[in-house]
Amino acid sequence: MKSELDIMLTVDGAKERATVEPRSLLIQVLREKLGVTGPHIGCESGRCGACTVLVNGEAVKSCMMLAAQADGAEITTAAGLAAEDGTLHPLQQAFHEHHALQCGYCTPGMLCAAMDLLKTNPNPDENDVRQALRGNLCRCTGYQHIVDAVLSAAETLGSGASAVKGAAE
Amino acid sequence: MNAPNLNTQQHAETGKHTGKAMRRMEDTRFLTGRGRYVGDITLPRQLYAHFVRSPHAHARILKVSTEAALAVSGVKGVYCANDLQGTRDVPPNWVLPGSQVKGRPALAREIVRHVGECVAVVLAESPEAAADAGVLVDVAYDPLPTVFSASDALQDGAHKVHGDLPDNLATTFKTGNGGYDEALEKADREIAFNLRNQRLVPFPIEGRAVNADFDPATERLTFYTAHQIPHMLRRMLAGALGFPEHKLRVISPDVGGGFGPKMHFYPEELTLARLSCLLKRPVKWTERRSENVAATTHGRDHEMEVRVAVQKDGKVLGLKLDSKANVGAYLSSMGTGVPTINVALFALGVYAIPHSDVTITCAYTNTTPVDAYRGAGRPEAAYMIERVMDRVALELGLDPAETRKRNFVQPDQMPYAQPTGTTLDTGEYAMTLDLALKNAGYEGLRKEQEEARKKGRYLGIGFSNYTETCGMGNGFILQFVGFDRGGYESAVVRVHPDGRATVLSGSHSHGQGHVTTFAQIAADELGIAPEQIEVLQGDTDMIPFGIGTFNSRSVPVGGSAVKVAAGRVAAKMRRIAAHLLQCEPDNVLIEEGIFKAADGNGTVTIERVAHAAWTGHDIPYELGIGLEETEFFHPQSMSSPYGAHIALVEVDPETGEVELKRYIAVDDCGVIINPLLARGQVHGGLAQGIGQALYEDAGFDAQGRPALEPSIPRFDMLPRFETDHTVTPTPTNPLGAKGLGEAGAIGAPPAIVNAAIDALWGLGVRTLDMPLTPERVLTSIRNAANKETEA
Ligand code: FES
Ligand code: FES
Repeated sequence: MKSELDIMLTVDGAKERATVEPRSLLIQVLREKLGVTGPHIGCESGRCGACTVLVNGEAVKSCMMLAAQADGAEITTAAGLAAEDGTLHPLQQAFHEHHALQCGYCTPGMLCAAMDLLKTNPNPDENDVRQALRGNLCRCTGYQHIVDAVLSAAETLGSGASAVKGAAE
Repeated sequence: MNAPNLNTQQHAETGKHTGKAMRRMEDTRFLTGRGRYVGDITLPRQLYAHFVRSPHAHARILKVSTEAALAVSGVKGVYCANDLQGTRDVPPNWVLPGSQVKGRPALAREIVRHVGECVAVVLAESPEAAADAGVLVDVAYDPLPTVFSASDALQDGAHKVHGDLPDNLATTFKTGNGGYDEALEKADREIAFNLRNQRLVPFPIEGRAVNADFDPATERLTFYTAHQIPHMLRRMLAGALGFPEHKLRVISPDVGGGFGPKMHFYPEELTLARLSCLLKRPVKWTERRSENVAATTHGRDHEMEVRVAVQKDGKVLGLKLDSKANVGAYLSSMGTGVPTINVALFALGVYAIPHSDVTITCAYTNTTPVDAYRGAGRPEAAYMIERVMDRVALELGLDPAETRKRNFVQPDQMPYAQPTGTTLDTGEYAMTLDLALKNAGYEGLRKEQEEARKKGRYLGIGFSNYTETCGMGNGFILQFVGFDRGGYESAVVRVHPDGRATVLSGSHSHGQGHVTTFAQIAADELGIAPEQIEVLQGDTDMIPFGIGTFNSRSVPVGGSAVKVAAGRVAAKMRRIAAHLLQCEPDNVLIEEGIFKAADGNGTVTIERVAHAAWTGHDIPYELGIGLEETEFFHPQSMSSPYGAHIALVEVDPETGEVELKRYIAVDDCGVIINPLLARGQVHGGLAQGIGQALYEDAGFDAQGRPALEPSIPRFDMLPRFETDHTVTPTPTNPLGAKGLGEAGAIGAPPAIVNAAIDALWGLGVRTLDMPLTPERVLTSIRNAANKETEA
């Protein structure tokens, strides 16, 4: 018989408990047990990045992490980037300004991957962005508007700004 | 960084809101993780499906053993073809007259004909249980001989895909005005070569997804599916199920990219609808990537032989095209339409070529069905004719831009009926090409190429002056080519008593941004801000019958429907306002929700007008109640967007690597409603076109299994695009807009391959096939060198 585990997560600021199988992936638990449907599934094998979330501030493909490994972690998804009053994070705002999304399916993962980039490299150039985000596929935009959005967000945030809300603590 | 530079000087000023780079109103929900895709919808008493699929390209099913699967806890049942009695095969929807039709079975009966074909389905209380049980369903197969390419399938004695079809032939289509041999007699020489338009996997990041929910209380079936054409799906699903169409509701919520394959009707949809009706519970399925590459339709797959008769000044006198198209194991929705009509009619591109002979032969093979993928036939045609133009120039020592100009259909010839059967409505091809040459700095590029060559570096410049015809209509014409769809689009425009408006549209966005562009169109008519307008789509209970999103038709046809309906509502509002203001309707102006008498005598708000309209308290009786108009916009004919694209590549002859250094695109899609979103469409199309040229291939192995990881372009695999527009409005619709969604995918492949051949021409390379992988390029260079030594 399968043994089940109880885990605790903080998802976008809310404390959550879940009973999971040892083999359950973080993405499955987020989507199916907790109803957190921002992160999407595009491949379930680490190749598309649609499932990217921030785990303790670091971008992680949540189809490549067991839910049990995330026990106790602080998870931030695209839903957790905006301010409490709904004001979009400068990165989200830049995506909007630069038309960096079409169908929107890759977008939540793309935002999380870009948040990680801006944290580790607050002044990226175009090549840095293209290299850092190469694990995230988008089939709609041809990427140029996403690159423009990330560069523009970097400028708005200014060098050294804390790019990751709620995950730095 | 500054706001995006949109090169807007080229765009016609269209209105207060149209023509502006308005940011998308639908963005916030996607940016905050609140998009609602089918996979996000889970219903009470939900069952989950897992399909058991054939690992063989061709085999007889001997036995399906389900005991072990049924023993898994949470499993509700395992179902095979026998359990779906009364269910017809999935029928194609565009059948060229004379086609041999083999539709896709919901679940395979006796024989499987491609890897990934559905054999059985497990339903369970959780996705995990369904998947666990799925691997325990034991299917015994007896493998049968296979055939994978169209040319092999059409050989005498080829293995049969369908036992009762002796020759694997799905259809043959011929067009053109003939006389190629005559042209050849007059010509200075003939140039002949072969091309392959390789098979592609469309690869939307969201796979297909279904949630079928039969409600025994109302005897209604609500069918959630990630789909581009909800109404067509309703009609076809109702037919195949034998379910009353008026009790079937198709909802396509947010869709994570379409690109063609999500406009078809699929075996999984039919199977799950049937099982939901049988079990009276909702059944959900989200496609895995491994299923997506094997069971969702593929695109392209033509093997072409082309010959042209040319004068030494580069004028093409005749073209003869013979193409073998692979339709896969069964006919998907547009199975014999796309590879014939959508290729053959466009074989002459934007050129006036006096004689043409075009033959396309479609063959069944043991592969995934092939259907529309961004461009749908027109990329195949453009690839061929644009490769021809550069080849002619290179062979004759002419400039490829000049060669094109000598062959262009001229503006004063418009509308121009191509002898292959399409009509080019508008186009100033030389003007658009000149802008591309200017933007590229063409003369400088040629000098750079020359200088580089001296240093042993191989730069190449390639061209493409593609055209396509889009904005599908008219229905009367569609019937003659066997296309069982309408050629119109629906719109309802409703102004509410508070002065805000709802637009219902029969087209369906899967990223194109209709919520914004259609609101811009309606806003200009209604005299209110786009933010006061909500655009709704994708629910057949709510929206009048629509034709949906494909063929770059949403703005030209769907947008025109919105404009016409909104225009009628505005006219009615003017009459009511005139009544209230005691003046003539012609003298009423509307701006930002305020109606004014032109002579300055008083104003009345839209709220007041709308209140009068919906209460009937103070309106002329004959106007009737309400502010709501429905339009089924039915264009007489289609429009022909076109463009001039230039690629600059550098090829490393040591490694075979092709670097795309610059890509210059000038597209003409007539009047542009939103230049920012238009640019997004161009970029997305270019990414897919460049993907085809450089990286992508369905990649079947010897067993007929497509590659699990087709090489979809990533961030670092694409350059910055240099885009621009010319504006030649079309007379075929009131917006003057042509479609744009497919332009990049059609234009890019020939430009890039032409550039690579241009780079290597001096080394003796005459042709290259896509994708331009280093191995393939190296082989061509070596073969060319060997030929040289032999000679
Ligand atoms: S779903 Fe996780 S990387 Fe694709
Ligand atoms: S916006 Fe559609 S996949 Fe990126």
